[in-house]
Amino acid sequence: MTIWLNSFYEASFFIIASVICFTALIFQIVEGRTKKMQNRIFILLLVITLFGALASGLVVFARPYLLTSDTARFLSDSAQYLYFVFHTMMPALFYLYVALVSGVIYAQSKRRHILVLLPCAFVEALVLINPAFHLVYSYGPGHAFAREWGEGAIYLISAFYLVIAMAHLLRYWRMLAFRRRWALLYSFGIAVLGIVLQLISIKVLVELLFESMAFAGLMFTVEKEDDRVDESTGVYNRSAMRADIANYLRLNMSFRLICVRITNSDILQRVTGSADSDAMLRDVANYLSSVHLIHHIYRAQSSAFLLVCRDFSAADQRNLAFEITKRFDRPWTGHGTDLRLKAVLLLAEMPEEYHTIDDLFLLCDGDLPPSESRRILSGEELDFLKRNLQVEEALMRGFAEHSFEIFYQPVYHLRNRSIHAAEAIPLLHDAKLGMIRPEEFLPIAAKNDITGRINALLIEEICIFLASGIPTEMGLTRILVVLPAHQCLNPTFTEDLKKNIRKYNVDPSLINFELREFASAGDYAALQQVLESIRDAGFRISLGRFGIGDSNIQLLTMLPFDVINIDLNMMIGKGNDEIGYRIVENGVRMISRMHKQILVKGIGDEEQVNRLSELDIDFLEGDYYSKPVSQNELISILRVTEVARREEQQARAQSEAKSSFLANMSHEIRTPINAILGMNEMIIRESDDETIRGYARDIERAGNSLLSLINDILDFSKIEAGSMEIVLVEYGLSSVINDVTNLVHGKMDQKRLEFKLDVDETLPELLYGDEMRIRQIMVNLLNNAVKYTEKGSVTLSVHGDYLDEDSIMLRIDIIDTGIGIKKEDLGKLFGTFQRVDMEKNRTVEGTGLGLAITQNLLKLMSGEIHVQSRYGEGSTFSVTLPQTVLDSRPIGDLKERYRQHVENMTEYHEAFTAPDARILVVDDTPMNLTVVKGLLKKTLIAIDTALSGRECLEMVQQTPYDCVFLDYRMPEMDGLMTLKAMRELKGSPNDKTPVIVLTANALTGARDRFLAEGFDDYLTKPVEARKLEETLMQFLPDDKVQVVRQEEPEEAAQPEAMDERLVPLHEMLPELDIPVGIERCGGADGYLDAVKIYSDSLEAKKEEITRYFAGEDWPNYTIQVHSLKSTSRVIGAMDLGEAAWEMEQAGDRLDVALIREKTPALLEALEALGDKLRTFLGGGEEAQADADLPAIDEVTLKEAWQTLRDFASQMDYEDSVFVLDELRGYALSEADRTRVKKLSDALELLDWDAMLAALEDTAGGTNG
Amino acid sequence: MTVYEFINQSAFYLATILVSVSCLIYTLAQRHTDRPQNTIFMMAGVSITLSAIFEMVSRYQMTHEVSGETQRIALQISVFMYFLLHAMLPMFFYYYTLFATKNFQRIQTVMHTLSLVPFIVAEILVLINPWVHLVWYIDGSMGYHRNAGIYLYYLLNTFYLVLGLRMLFFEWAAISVKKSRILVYSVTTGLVGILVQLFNTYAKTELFAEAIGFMGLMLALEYDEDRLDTATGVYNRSALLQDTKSYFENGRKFYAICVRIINMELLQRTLGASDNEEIFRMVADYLKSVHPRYMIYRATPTAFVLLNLRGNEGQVRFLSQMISWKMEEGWEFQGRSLPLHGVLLYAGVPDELHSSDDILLMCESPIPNAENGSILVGEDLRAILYRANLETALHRGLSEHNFRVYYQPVYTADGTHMYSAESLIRLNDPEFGELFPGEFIPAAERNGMIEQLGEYTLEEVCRFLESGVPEKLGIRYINVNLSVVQCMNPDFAVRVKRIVDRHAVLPSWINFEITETMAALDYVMLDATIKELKAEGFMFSMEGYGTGFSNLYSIFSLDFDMIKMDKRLLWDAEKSEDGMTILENSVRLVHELSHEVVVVGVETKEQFERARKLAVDWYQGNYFSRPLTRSELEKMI
Repeated sequence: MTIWLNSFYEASFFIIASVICFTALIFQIVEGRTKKMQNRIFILLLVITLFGALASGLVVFARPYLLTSDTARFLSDSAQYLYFVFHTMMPALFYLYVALVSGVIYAQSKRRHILVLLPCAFVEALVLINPAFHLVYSYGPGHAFAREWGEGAIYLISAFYLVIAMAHLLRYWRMLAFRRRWALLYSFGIAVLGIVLQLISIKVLVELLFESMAFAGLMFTVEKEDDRVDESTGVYNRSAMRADIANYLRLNMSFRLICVRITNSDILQRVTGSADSDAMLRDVANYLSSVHLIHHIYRAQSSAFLLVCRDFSAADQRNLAFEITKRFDRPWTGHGTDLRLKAVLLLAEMPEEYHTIDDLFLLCDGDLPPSESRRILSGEELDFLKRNLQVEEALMRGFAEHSFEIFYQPVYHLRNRSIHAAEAIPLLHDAKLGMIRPEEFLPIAAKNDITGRINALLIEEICIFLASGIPTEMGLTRILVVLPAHQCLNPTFTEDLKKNIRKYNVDPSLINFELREFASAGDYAALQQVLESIRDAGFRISLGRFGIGDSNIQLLTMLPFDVINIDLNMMIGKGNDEIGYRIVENGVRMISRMHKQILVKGIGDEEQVNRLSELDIDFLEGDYYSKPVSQNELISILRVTEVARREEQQARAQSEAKSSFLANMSHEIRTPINAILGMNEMIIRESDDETIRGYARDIERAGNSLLSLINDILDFSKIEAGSMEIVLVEYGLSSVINDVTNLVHGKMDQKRLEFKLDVDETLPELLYGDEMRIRQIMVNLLNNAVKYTEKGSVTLSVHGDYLDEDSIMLRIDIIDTGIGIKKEDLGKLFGTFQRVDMEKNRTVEGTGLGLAITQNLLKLMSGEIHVQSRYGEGSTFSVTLPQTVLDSRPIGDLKERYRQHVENMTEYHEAFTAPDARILVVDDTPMNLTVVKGLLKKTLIAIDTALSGRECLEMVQQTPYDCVFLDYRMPEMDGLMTLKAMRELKGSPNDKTPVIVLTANALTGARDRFLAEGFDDYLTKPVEARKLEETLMQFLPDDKVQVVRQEEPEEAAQPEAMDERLVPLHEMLPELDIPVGIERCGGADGYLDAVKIYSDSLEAKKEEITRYFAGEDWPNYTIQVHSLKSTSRVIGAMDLGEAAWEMEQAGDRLDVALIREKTPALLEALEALGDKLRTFLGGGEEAQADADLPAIDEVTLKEAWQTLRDFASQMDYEDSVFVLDELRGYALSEADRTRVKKLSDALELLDWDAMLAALEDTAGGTNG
Repeated sequence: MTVYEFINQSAFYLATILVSVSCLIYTLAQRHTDRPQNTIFMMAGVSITLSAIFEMVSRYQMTHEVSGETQRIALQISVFMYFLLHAMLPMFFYYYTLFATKNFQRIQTVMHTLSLVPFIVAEILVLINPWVHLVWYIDGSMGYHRNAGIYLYYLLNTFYLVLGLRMLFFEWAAISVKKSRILVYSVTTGLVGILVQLFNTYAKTELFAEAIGFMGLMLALEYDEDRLDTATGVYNRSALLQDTKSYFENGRKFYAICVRIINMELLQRTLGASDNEEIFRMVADYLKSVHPRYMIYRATPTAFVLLNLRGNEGQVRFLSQMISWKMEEGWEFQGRSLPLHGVLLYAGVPDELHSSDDILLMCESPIPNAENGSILVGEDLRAILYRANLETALHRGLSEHNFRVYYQPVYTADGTHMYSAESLIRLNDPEFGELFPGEFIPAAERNGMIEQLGEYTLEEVCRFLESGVPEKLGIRYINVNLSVVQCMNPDFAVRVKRIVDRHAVLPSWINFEITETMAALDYVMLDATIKELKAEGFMFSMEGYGTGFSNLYSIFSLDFDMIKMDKRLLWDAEKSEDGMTILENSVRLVHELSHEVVVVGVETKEQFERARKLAVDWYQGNYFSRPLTRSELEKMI
């Protein structure tokens, strides 16, 4: 064998070791594992081993030449020396490697690192100084290698490092995958075996071989991390993250985290496909890897990366985060195109802020708030994550601890603000977190797939609540349950639902599901089917959150919804409220057109209420009205509203009573006014005294305006009561305009105003609409114009624009040259009970209701009214009103007809006579008969009268009449009955005679009704002479009528005489200046009233004066005498007044002496006057009347009280009035009379409670 | 000879044993033992180890001072065993490569038999050696000598080596650069060792070199974590691509079964992100129970692909049916039933699927209205893969200029004259005929061609505008459709400006259209884009109003000039009163918010009259004019 071969054999372990090392090195480099610190140390270890093996080989090959060649010896010694230098480092490096791999290194302080490295430095120093001191090894004779004690130290210290490395590995043990553990153990074992072998025998040079084998093993197991790497992005994967972080936490390491969450990756995937989005994420991963080499980057989730930063300050962390966000401003590549990614960075610190792996996953997976606009979140900004987790735990607890509670948010009717329904809102009362709102826990529940459970719970609770019967009893008609649409598709949902309904026997129509989130429900055909089956089962279904992307417009028609809900929160307060409101308004319009009901939710403040008030919304819900409340609170709210509802019902009943009262008044007031105006007309006609006629005309004017006031009030009360009805009839436009112009023409003449008529000739003649109301509107506006115009003109202009063939938009303008309206008053114009410019218009009479009525009427007919005005120059009221066109024939020139009409009008004044005619007037009020007779006196018509229907029937059978006037409202037989009976009479000479009904009912549609009932015409009471004559002209046979020129009545003065009632007074008290009194009181009646009041008050006055006089209360004494002075002067008791005046003066001066002197005389005079007045008034009607009245028996009285009680509790106004009237017809005891008075007073005020109170002590008597 | 000398002389054998045993241990620890190639790999490891042991025995006998008959026989036996075992190694290598490259089944039985001939010859050579001493002989002084037969023996072994290497490097596309480098190194090391020993019998490096090569094989081929999907333990997408690519290159026929989970979005909502992977592991585990693990790939997060290399269609159908039953039967997950919806698709490759991309398409293309457990094959599959062909048509379209821009005029409120026009792109493909945007735009969005298409259209429109023809026709501006992908590109505005600037065209002549569905994707991004381009003078309109699930507030917060009603709104208005109400109010709302309204899809006079009543601003539809080509429009002047 050659020396070479020998050396080769001897060096073969070194050769092998170097080959293995080299191979491992090559593999490591080829695999590209060179970047991380761990990789680099590993490579260093390999290189040192390789170098050691090569050096050892060199020593072996040089050995035969050591003694002969200096070069060989030098090479050998150098190699040996360098081998020792480097190889001594290995255990420490190995320890470092293990520390890096296991992460221990980051857990320890720098000082500790230094300490740990000290032994290595020590032996290194030994080796370094070896050439001089030979402490480690030496060369013996023949240059033989000999170990020294230093070698032992090296082994010892190596062992030390191996042991602590091993210890670290053991700590790391659990984190290792199974195969790593065994491979590691095997490698370790081999290395130790090699070292031990060589230690035992220096000739077995296997140490390096075994070491290299161990490294190769490490390479396979530790360095090769394919299972820890995310294949598509090249960074560590989630399981590596879990393992590493768990390890760090176990080692109590502290580190900072930056979680990069890409928020639009779903869009990315949608438009690009998964492969391309992966490419883009790889781009992101590469960037993140390049930001800082020492950070470990994990792909924590498909669209989230986690950076673990050690030895990082908060500022570093923030800077880095900021740098990363800046990078996200620029595009990323991957798709063949560049796209922008959006990212939110979450900064956290572990374990200070986040303690466990679960916390970490929270950071990576937790839902981000959808509206988050900040790009870096840290600290408290991230509390929502923890909160989510806590809520999740609370949810889980919730089922076990029954901490769910259902709250109810009332839903109100828009119209009357009564509670219509209640939305069931599940709340979570957690022991730890307190109250949790559904907005918070429902998304979390959805993630955990327990929404279904919560819903089941909700439905069961609702069923229990409904089964109690309380909700329905309290007027609740539905309970609303919000439901994500896809929940319906879950078969257990419908099963549970049916089960609960059966179990609690609940009416399904009380449950209303509000469905949401249709976009995610996917399968509409299936959904439609399920929803229809739910609806068929009786449940109600509404569509939730219209217009926010939960649903699309098509769903409105596709699925069977009863109610559509709009959530205001989603529309208002997002920046541009106008857009929101417009969307809501439009939505409401659209939905109501589709005949679906609308619930607007989320009403938060008054402004929203105002904005929505004009809309056709059915139901309202929101914190503004009521927040969600517990079941008990709901019940008490319902109770309160129930009471309120009752009260409101009562109020409505009262208001109805008022209305009916007013309606009755229409009859009651009109009848006397009829009489007054009729009589007055007679006075005008018959009186020759111009002064009297002047008075009469004043009465006529005042009476007419009183009448119009009453009409206004009636109309308004009807509108208020909502009972105003629009009656659509066919009508001729021209006749309406004619009538209106005729009506106002007179007034204008009186004020010398010019009336201009401007009517489009092409307007259609035959329209369909509420003729009466249109008339009323025009008259109102024209009257208004006349009222406020002193000179100039009033123009009525009527035009129209065809909307389509069948409808026209009428435009009626009433233009005056009156006082106009101030700009600031324009707004108030249509308000109720408001009159503008009071200062200037004090003289103008009216209720101020006219325009309000007009506007309301127009609203009812979908018309509008606008006003333009220049203060001091005039106003234009413009009405637009859509009408249906029945016949488009044009109406022609109305102006011309008007002109002719005006001519006729003047002709009319010529009046007529009809001496051959005979008419019958039937009315139960004799006064009315007198009025009609009086009005027709000059016509010379023969007038018969009857007081009842029955009488009338008798008369018509005997005498033929040319015309019959029949009162509509009569006792026993009313007008209609009479008419029918009359028409049915066989052989009566009057079966064809025209019958004109007299009625106080000037209400809408009256004419049609009367004509339909068979009357030939009608006249409203009070009967106007002109109308009466007109009617007669129409119905009397022409041959009996003779038109005559009206004669100017002669005027004559009449001397004034004292009222005969006052004569006794004058006789009794000649000192009384009666004429002055009459003058002051505006007439004898007034004077009499005043005397009565004066007399009644005198006793009290006397007492008070006496009292203050006695008490020396001079100021009050003075007031009393002052008032005595005034009242005395009113009734003409001048002397007493004078005396009182004196005392007043004295009181003012505090002239006590004078007062003391003269007061007794005053009181005397006072008493004397009182006595006389009482005597005059004494025999008064009352006592007289009372005495004449029949006595009432006790039973009847008790019955009366009982009846009154019943009526009062039923709030029956009319019947109460009737009973009280009846009672007044009897002679009653003083107490009973007072009671009747009290009752009447209370009834007048519709104070039912007071009535019942007044009747209280009568009840006992009845029962007992 | 001392024990140390012996140890030193046997160092290479010891190292060989150490290395190969280590590799075996690692392999076992890795539990990569289920594939046929694993078995072969371990057999090779064992044979190397045994060879090394026998060599050491021979060495010991040869160098031992005492010699006798027993010793001689022992030597004879150990050498014999070495040759016997060692001849297997190249054969193992060859078969290993066959399995690793999944070429085993491809090769016919005859070929297999034939390829065993060299091995049999080599073994026969060894077997008859005790009598004929063709390969080696032992002389009287226990000396070992080679005979000429050894070269034949080596030659026969080399035959397998060459075949195996050819298989690895030249017939297998699935190998990555990294791995081929490792293999090259290992093979080189092995060859060097063999050659060293061939030329110098004293240097016993051969086995050691082979062990190193063996180690390289392990690292490169056995350790396939990079091809694995970590979560499920089946192969990943890139493995699928590598493997199928390789099969396609080799013209392999196989079946691909795709198992897709189609309701993952819903599940994600109900389960949260962390559980997803658990679900897929469960599915993967099930699939592993019915099909070999190493033939299962996770192609997309929600789709698995099972490759079947040897089966016939019947087997594949049966397998699919079985999986489908499992799908219908449902899954038990963490103690509760999981409503996982799966769909199966399978196809023969390359008859039905023509490339790896097609296989991916099978996993990715949207499946409309598929029921749980349904199996889509044949026509159904083709319909789904239609898009695949569309993409080729798109590419063809751009290179062969098959795209045409049409202009559908938009008419004024009185319906009398043109005011603008919408540009519509159509693809006239030689294979598919005329294709409409609805058919190819989604595909273009997915493969990134949308940008080119968008720019192509804009370019065409600009050219048309520049010609002055539109102006003469009264067309003030032309509507150009935008895709969300275009808007997401930060360069979009710059590119648009560049194109417009290149032509003598004013920005106000161009009105970009964005669909409602798209607007709903990302309001913020869209807002920025719109603002930027509007500042330049471009107009914007939204089309398809009323069809998407969009937030009305957000839509109207965007600064559109006009809103185009979706044609369905108009058509539904004819069908029902509610439809009319919807249309009416939509128009009203848009007007109230001060945008102009375009009604699209006017096809009859009645529709026009209906829309006219609503005082719509503009009309578009076939009643006025169908989409026209540029030359048709030119003729109208």
